[in-house]
Amino acid sequence: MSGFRLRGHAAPLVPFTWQGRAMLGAQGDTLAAALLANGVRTVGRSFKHHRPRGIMAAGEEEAGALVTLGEGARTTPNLKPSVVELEAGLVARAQNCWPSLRFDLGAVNDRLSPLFAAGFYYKTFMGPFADTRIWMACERLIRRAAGMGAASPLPDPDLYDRVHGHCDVLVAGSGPAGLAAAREAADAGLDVVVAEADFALGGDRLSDRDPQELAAALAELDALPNVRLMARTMVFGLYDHGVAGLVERLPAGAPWRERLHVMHARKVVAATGALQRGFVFGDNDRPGVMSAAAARTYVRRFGVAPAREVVVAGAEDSAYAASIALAQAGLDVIHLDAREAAPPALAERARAAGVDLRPGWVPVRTQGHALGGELRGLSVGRHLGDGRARAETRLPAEILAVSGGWSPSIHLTTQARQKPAWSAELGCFLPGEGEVLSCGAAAGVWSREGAETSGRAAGRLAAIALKATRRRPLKDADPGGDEAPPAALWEVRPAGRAFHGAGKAYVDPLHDVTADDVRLARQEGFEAPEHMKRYTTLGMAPDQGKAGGVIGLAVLAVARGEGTGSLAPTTFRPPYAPVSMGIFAGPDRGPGWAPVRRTPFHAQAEAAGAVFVDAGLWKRAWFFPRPGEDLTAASMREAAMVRATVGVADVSTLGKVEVQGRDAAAFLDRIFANPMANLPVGRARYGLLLREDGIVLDDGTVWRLAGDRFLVTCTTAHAATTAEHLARWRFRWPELDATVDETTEAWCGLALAGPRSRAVLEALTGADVSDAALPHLGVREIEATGAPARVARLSFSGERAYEVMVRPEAAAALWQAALAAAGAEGGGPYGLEALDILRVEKGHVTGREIDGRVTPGDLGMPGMASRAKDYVGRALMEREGLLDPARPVLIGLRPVEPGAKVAGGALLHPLGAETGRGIGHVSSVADSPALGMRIALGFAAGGPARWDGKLLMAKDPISGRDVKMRAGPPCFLDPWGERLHG
Amino acid sequence: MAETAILSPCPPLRQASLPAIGAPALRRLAEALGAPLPPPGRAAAGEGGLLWRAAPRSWRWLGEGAAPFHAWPEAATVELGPGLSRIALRGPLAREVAARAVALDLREAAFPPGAVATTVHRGATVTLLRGAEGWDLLVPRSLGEDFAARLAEIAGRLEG
Repeated sequence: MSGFRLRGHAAPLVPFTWQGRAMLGAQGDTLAAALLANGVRTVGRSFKHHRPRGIMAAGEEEAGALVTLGEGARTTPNLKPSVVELEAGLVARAQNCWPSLRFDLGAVNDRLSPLFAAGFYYKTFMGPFADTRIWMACERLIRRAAGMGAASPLPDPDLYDRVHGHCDVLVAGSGPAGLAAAREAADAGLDVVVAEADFALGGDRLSDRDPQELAAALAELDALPNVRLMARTMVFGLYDHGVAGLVERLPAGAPWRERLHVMHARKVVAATGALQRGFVFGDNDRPGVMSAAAARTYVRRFGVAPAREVVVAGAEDSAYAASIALAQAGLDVIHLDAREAAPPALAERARAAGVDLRPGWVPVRTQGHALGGELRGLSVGRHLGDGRARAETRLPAEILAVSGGWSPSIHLTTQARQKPAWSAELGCFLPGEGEVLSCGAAAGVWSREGAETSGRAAGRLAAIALKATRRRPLKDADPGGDEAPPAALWEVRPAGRAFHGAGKAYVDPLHDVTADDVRLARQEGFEAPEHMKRYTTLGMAPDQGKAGGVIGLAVLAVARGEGTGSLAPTTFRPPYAPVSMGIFAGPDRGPGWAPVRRTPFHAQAEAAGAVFVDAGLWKRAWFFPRPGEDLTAASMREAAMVRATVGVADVSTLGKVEVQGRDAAAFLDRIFANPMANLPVGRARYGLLLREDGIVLDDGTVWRLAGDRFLVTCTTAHAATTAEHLARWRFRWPELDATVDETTEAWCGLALAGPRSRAVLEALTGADVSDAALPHLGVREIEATGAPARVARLSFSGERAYEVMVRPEAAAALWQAALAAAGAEGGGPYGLEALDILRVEKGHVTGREIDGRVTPGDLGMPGMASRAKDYVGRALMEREGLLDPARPVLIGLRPVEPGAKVAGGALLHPLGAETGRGIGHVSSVADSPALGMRIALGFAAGGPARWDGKLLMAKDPISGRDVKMRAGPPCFLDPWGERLHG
Repeated sequence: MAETAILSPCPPLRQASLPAIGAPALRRLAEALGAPLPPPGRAAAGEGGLLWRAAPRSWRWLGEGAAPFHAWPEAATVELGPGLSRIALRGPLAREVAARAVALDLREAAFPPGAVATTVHRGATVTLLRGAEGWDLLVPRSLGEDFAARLAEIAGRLEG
């Protein structure tokens, strides 16, 4: 007989579907409880060996059954049914099996398992087949055969929330210790959050026979205004500065599926309980083998008997609690205690409950049904010490409930870098001391009373640490609390014969890692726990050491001839248990994954027919197509228009930084590579900024608005970096009276470029902007369309040009007036693409050339780096490697065949040597209307000095297109700058 | 919808900085304000505006009223308001909405009315003020529309 619902468990029924079969569970069930109540024993197939597996636990330590929930886009694989809350309409199915759960072709792997020992996959990398087609074909098969479930390839239709939270004390876990800690901290006036991963609060108290006491305690706590009780909320990770990651599962119908709480806690209390571990024996993974604590939980909390015939095999006291609970529920219980003498008081209670107690006995190997493999009995024998036993007799059993001891759940403290310490007395690792306080079973305190004492002590310590109380620390409970010490039992090995004939003995059933695998790893040189873990996959991925971490270490230590506890566990990583990827994306997904920046001219440009392009976060006007025009046609027309008459472009995105103060000029002189101190008032100058390592950070202009007031403009791409650079250096030179304020968005601007640009500026300002009043590189603060404006005569296109900056509220008027005036001159708006064409024709650089690798010399501007003053980056710019004459230097490239279309990013090679990485690359291309061909800028080793007039092959490894180019200086048009003066 | 995220232009926001701010300078500023200067992280109301310390050597004045920086003729001043937008978060769930925008401690004791802080939202520098009516987020103007839409959407979801 398999599992069934016990009489007296009254709860509303909940319909759900398992493997396409309609079933009924009870409200408050986990999926595992509901499956057991419906008599389901085999729930899935294992990761590697495809062995049948059933429910093995009642919590996150589940290592047997992983299932897939949902359908279509809402399919979620690899869930542990022991923590899945049963909801009406839930659809679940087994995974890792084909064609069916009962008959799985992959089960042949179990027969072939000697081939799949530890390190099997790595070994395929070696030998005669490595890197061959045969290996590639096998590798595909291996990958297909292994794995855990399959995620939906469809976009996740659910939404995820992300919220920042703060509290004084975060208590992880709501068991006896957690609730006591919360109460103590709350009584000190602290703001307390209790996060419980389960959908019900109470932890171990949920298995109490009288639920009223817990309900009263929770109600009392919940009534406190400074306590937040959060069920369905797992603390999955602890990070720096008291930041904890909490994931909250929201009920069906909520606007979000899950919520990520980035919780900033001043103090964290880990009341995370302990995980019951088994021990290793032959075929210890059959459906029907589970932890003793799980068996008790299913009976007590869920009212589900996992089966009628139960054998409990324990090596410590708590197994008796399971036996007694199961016997009191009317089940037939045989209790094997690995210890020679049973603890007298517990033994008496067990016998009184009807338990058949057999001290000194252990399971040796299980037996299962021929077809499904489910447990039907086990061979047992007397424990001869050190895990040795000889099978003497056979016991029938449908459930084998095992307890080898408890491992405090120290994941959070190890994430906080608190090194765990081995307790030989308790046979477990105890949490290390540090900022995170542990209490209850998480601190190795096993008894209920002890846990509550421990919780109160932790709550008091938190209150003292946060100076919320002047009271003294409370006496903490000592770890332990059992009637008799546990037996150090990790593995039962048949005495007198080779272990290999005794069935597979799993250390980590989740990853199909056996004790032999651990020994093999050690034998092959992977002796350190970190190495053994990676070689065998023990305790990796979703498990994070819950199922077999401690047992694996013990087996390894024994294999090394060392004492148990001599090896420290590997660092547990967040998340404690798997969490949805969606919570990390939160609301940042789909079209809104990144914010959108719009300039003050956006609406006007849109009305003028602009097509926008993403430039970082900015939406920039790319081109203004006329009917029938595409990007190329429109941008070439716009570029030609600028050269012929006048164009208007939105340049608001340029970075702007105001530098003020008595020493502002001195500050800028130290910051820029070229001199700035001698810049006259009312003039602007091109400037080159270097990083501390001598590499060009950015370029821009400096406008001297007054003796002690400057405006620095920089490129759109580097606006934030440049502003930060200036601010940082400002604070490094406190002796200078200078302030640095970014004002990028406090001003917006238009560029007026072209031979008729002055006429447009006159129309906008009504001021004298003649060459005498506003010469090239002149700056004036005047009015434009009635609003205060900053105007500078600067050119990026090589034409006479002006930049007009106004406050954003004046943007619309400026745009309308500028376009009207430009239209009167035969001009119009131009976009980013035309702007790029114009600057490539002139050989001006942008972020595609200033790419974080180049020096002023590489850009063909060695003279910009002053030799007469010191400045940021000068010292390291003079490193030998940066002065190497063979460095790639900016060049211009024209196609030999005018119609050829070179691609940006193409590699440059000397003709006849067209292999490898070449001598440089193409950085920018432009379809130049002025030259009637696609021209390019790029970098070539030695630059124009070496390659002027010579042919290079531009090879685009992506398109496979090769274009023969003639190299020359980077400036293609008006090399003497005559057009600047219109 | 009771819960709102209302986008509007930022009122004038003027910043004044001095190379060094000593007690005499602070006294002059307090006299110009007509009230004691607020401690860090708090704003003080003056005639037609709010004053707070933005950095060790910088103070800001938000509002249409005349800034008290006439007390510091030697200060470097800059007008930042035109580059910002204001998103007003109102209603009983305003704090919940704000908690999705910034990582600050918004609990009553930590961020009472009158509190102000500069922080980061979606990679951008923002300033959060708490007034009697609710919470105001000052964000870069270019991002105002996007941020307000996101916060309004969150508010809508929280309201259900």
